[in-house]
Order: sequence, then C-alpha cells, then structure tokens
Amino acid sequence: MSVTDDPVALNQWIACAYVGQVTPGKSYDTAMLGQAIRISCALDGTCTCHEIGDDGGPGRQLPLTQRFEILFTTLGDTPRQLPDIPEFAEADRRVANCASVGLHASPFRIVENFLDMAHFCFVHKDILGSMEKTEVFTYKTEHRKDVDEIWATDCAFFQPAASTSAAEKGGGQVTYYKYRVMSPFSVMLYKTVYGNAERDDAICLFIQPKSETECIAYMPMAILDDQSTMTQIIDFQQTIFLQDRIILENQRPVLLPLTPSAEIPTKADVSSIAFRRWLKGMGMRFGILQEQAA
Amino acid sequence: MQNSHPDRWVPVGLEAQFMPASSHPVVVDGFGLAVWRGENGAIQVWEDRCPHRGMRLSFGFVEGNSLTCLYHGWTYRQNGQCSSIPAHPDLDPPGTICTKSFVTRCHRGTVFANLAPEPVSGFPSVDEAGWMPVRSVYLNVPEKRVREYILAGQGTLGPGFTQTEFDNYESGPDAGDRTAIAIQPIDDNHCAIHVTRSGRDTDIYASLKLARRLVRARREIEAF
Amino acid sequence: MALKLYNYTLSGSCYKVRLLLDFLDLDYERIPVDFFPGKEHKTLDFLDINPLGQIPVLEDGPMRLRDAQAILAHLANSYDETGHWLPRAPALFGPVMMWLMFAGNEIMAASAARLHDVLGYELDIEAARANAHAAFRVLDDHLTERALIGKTWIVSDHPTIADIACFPYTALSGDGGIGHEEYPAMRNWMRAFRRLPGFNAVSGIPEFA
Repeated sequence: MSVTDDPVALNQWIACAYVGQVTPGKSYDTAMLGQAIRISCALDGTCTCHEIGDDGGPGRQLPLTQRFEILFTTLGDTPRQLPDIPEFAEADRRVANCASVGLHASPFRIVENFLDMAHFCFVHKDILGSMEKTEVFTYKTEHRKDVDEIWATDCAFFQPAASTSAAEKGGGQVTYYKYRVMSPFSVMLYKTVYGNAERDDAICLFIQPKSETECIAYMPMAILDDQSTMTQIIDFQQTIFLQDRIILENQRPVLLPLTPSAEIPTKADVSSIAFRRWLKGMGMRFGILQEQAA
Repeated sequence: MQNSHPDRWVPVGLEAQFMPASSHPVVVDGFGLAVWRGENGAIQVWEDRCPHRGMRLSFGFVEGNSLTCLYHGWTYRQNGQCSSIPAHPDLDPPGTICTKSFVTRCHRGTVFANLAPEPVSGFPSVDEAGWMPVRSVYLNVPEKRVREYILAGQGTLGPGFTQTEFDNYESGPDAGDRTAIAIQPIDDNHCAIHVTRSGRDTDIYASLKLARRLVRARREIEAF
Repeated sequence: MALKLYNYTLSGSCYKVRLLLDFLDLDYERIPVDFFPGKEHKTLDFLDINPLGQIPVLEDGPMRLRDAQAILAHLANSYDETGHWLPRAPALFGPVMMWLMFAGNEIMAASAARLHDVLGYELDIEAARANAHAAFRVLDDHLTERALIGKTWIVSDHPTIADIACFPYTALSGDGGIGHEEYPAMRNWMRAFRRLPGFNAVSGIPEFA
C-alpha cells in the first residue's frame, strides 16, 4: 500500500481514533490514505501521531487535534478547516461516542448512503421506514459556497421508530432531516427530536479512509435525550450502521464512478448527484473510478 | 464498460439447487453474477449489479417472478425491466432501466450461461431426460488442475472420463450409469465442478455415494 | 420475570438465544451489556456474573448459565413442550449434540473474522477466514447430503437447536469477509431458516427472505 498523491484528499483533517481508544502508555497503528500511522499516548494522556517509516519506526510527526470525541490528523500542509458543530458544546445534550466500525467500502459510498433516504424502508425496515410509506418527497439541495459544503434541506420521511426514545414510546412520526456534507470524508444530519419541535439531534459520520477501499467510520452524536441510557443510544446507532454495512460492502464497482451513464439516479438522489458534482469540481481523484480512455 | 467475455457456455450451478423464489451469487472468470429463479421456475443469469447504485442483486429477494434489490427495493421482471421504484411509487420506470442479462440454458441438470455480448456458440436445442443432480464441488485450484485430475483417472472418481462439448467431461460410454462433470472457472485459483448422473439406478443412495466420493476427490485434487 | 438475558444486540451468540426465546414465545428481560466500546463484559462486576467474561448469560430464577449452546439446550429442555427443538430419540440426540459443539467451536472462526473486520479486534485474520471456510465446507457437505435425501434441516425433519446454533455466524460471515458463493446447500438452508415463523433478523442479515 502506498500513500496517495492526490492533494485534495491529503489536505483534509481525517479521523484516526476515538477518544478513549488508545490506552495511556500504549500506541495504536492504523493507516490513512495509504499511509501507515501510529498514535501514541503517554501515561498523562497526551497523544502524538507519526507516520510509520519504512523501517517500522516513527517517521514524520503529524499534527493531532481533538474534536467531537475524535482525534483528527492530516497529511497535508493546508488542510481544510474542521467544521463548526456548536451542538457538541450545548450543555443539555448527551454527547455519544459511538466508537468506530471498520468496513471494506469507498468513503464516498459511505457518505452517499448517509445522505440517502430511499433505503430506509428496506435496509432499516420497521425502524427508519416501513413498507407502507416508501415515497421520498422532493427536497432541496444546494452547494453553500461560503462554507463550501453540500446541504440538503426540507427532507421528510415517515418513520416507525426513528430513535431510541421514539422506539420506546411506540408509534411512528414524520421525521424532518437536514443533511450537511462538511468535507469529502465527513457528513452529518440534523433530525427531528421526538417531542421537541425547536431543536434537532446532530448525528455525525467522520470517515477515515485507510485506503481507497477500506475505511473506519466514526459516529459521534450530540442529542437531546434524557431518557435512554448511553448503552441504549450506542446500541441503536450500531444496529443501524451494521444494517448499512452489508450494503456498503457489496456495491460494485467499489470505487465511485463519476461518469453519468454508469449509474442511474432518480429525483430522490439529488443530494448524491450534488455530492458527486462537488467531488468532480474539487478535482478529487482518490477513491474515484478512473475510466479507461475509449 | 466493454464486455470482453469469450463466446462459450459456462456452468453456474445445478438446476436442483436453485430453489424457486431465491437468488444466488455466482462468480465466473472473476465476474459477479446473480442467478435467480422465479416462482414459475424460470432461471435468470444477470450481472450481479443493480443499475441504480451498483448493489449486488444476488442479495436481493424474489417475490413471484420479480427480483427486488435489497438497497432501495427497485424491482425487476424476468426480462430485466425495472417495474417499480419505491421512492417514487407513482412513477412508471422507463424502459431504459434494466439489468444486464445473459442467455441461459439447462442441460443434463446443469444451468449454463454465455456471457459474450453476442453469443453465437451453439447449444443442444433439446435437453436429455433422466439426469439426476449429485452435487457441486468448489475447489481452491485452477481449472487446469481439475481437468488433469479427471483425465488422468487415477483418483477416487476412477478412469473412463472423456471430454465432451463445451469442454466438460462424462464417463460411461454406454447407456449404463453415466456421470457428467461441468467445470466453472471462478478465477485464476478457483473453480467449481457441477456433477450430475444418469442411469438405470435411480436410487438416491447411488447419488449420495457419488457425492461422498466427490468430497474425497476434492481433498485429493487440493492436496496435490 | 424469571428469564433474564445479559445481551448485546450485535452478538451472534446472544442472537442464538434470542432466536430460540422467540421461537418458544417466551417472555424475558434483556439486560443490555455495553460490549463495544465499553467492554463491559470484562469489568469486575460482569466477571462476578461470568468468570469467562463472555455473553450471553441467562438467568432462569436462581440458575445462571453461560455459553449459548448450553443455554439453548436448557431452554429447549425446560420450555419446549413439543420436544422438537431438542429431540430425545437416540438416533437424533447425539447428532444434535455433535452439531451444537461444532457451532460453539469450528463455526466460531467466522465470529473471530467478524470481530476483526467490524470492531477492529487484533487477531490472525487469514487463519480465521481459512478456518471459517473449512467449517463451512463441512456444514455445506452435510447439508448437501441432507438435500439429496429430501431433508432441509441439519438433524431431523424439523429444525432443532443444532440449526439455531449454527445459523447466526454462518449468516453473518459476510461481515468478516467470508462469502457464501461456494456453499449452495448452506444458502438454501439459511433461506429456509429465515422463513421460519417467529424468525427475527439482526443487523447484517437481510430482513427479506
């Protein structure tokens, strides 16, 4: 495996561990964009990150920053700034560190799956969608140029059990979503809080592409739920993600095809169409299927 | 993407093992196929990829005579046409939305497919009656190794196999008990053999005995 | 409630027990264990409950049992009025035990591969996958013979706890990079299992059969 030379991919802050993952006094080896890296934590809890050199020893030191229950690092000199997500600082929210899950998939397929509502009835049957109401209503998508993010708004979907608290109380509801792609490897959604019309739960997905086809997904969230235990909250999130995982690992081709004729989108897919256009516009090559010249 | 498959008939499995209303993953020459059967018994061999977002159709489920993709529930008829897109229940899917399908035939209890873009290679127009399924055996060796083993005739399966059309094998030149072996190339290091038999002895225990010998043969072939 | 299950939703071993509890239509209390990331099963409190630091654990009144296979046998023995899930006939009892042990041993290589790929456990993944394939060959060879004589289930004419014990990690093996392309008889058996009345899926097993 060799590190990518794609400057767009390199100049991102990328998740490399979750808070609490590395025991003080120990180190953890992983990879990012084809580069082997090591996170080492001293007994006092301070951590450092290095590339792993060809000899297996520490190479270049990399910057490390901690946000949203995650440690981020970067291989680039001018990385895109990490997003602002004020919800993580709000005192009355539960901040759930759902750790991470590994999977063999393209990071961009993972982002698109997160943006997608049309699969709720099938992949998350009787939780996020039911066979009685499968329609995806028209929603809005935009590229917000001031922050260079893709947003999808006015998304609505009928859900039998949209969250831990909704599942406990029974009965379905229409859930309203807003989706926000903060960077090529990160996406989040804001969703209706059961019993609270004013504020939204914030659920995030930060992706660590170890290579073009293997990733680790981190899912921190900042939610309004004073009923469920943290174990129940994490259980719900893991249940949902493991359902998506069998889809993500079985999409072909593995790399994301950007030619329009390769796959057939519908109106329900406008957010992923915007995402692909955005990737193309920024010149992303990592994780993208390079078509052979005819 | 260019279809560069050669014009030849390859076996993908035993007819008896493709249950009505089921779908299955099969790999031929590194290429993924979804083999599925409607409740009416008709077998389809399609590229294992939904045209929407590339989800493997072999993970899909069959209701009636349609195959539904597990990701977004897009449903396809046996002719490959998409009949339903649940995200847009009022939409009549355009005829351009269809799966990539390949010609398929059954012969001697084995399902064959031809993946070439315009297959012209002939196939027996009439199937033969009286062939009973034995079993498929999947091997971690290239097909060349299996062919050598069969023709050498030194192992548990014994001698007497000759090559037939479509580069397969059969034993028993007379009308007595015959065994047919069809070879499926999976990739450079894997293949499968699909075995059926025909003969006077229709007792299921004769098939069972041969099935056990095939398990032993697998060990012999892989031990080499 | 008399029956309590120390449970983690994504655990295939817990799923074995939940399957039989559903098939027998038994009421029980679920006690959630934060297996990942919390590693609750390795805490001092949990080691008091099961010194092996593993789930599932079943409490039935004063009785406390570990090991999914033992729990299946106890539930079938105590609560199944039909006697089908754990048949006593000499021709069937021994084979059910044999496949129960197989489920708790050889098949668990598929669980190891899944823990590695999904939760990042450090172990010899190549060995785990090779051992899982070897186990699946044994199971598929057996199910192939059963199919030839017109039988669907591992032992007997109806499903037993041998089928329940073998099902979860077989069905979830894709999570660990072990596909089902080479096991046609096993695929047909899994499909028949998923169509049993009272069957509920778990993440990683499609809801639709």
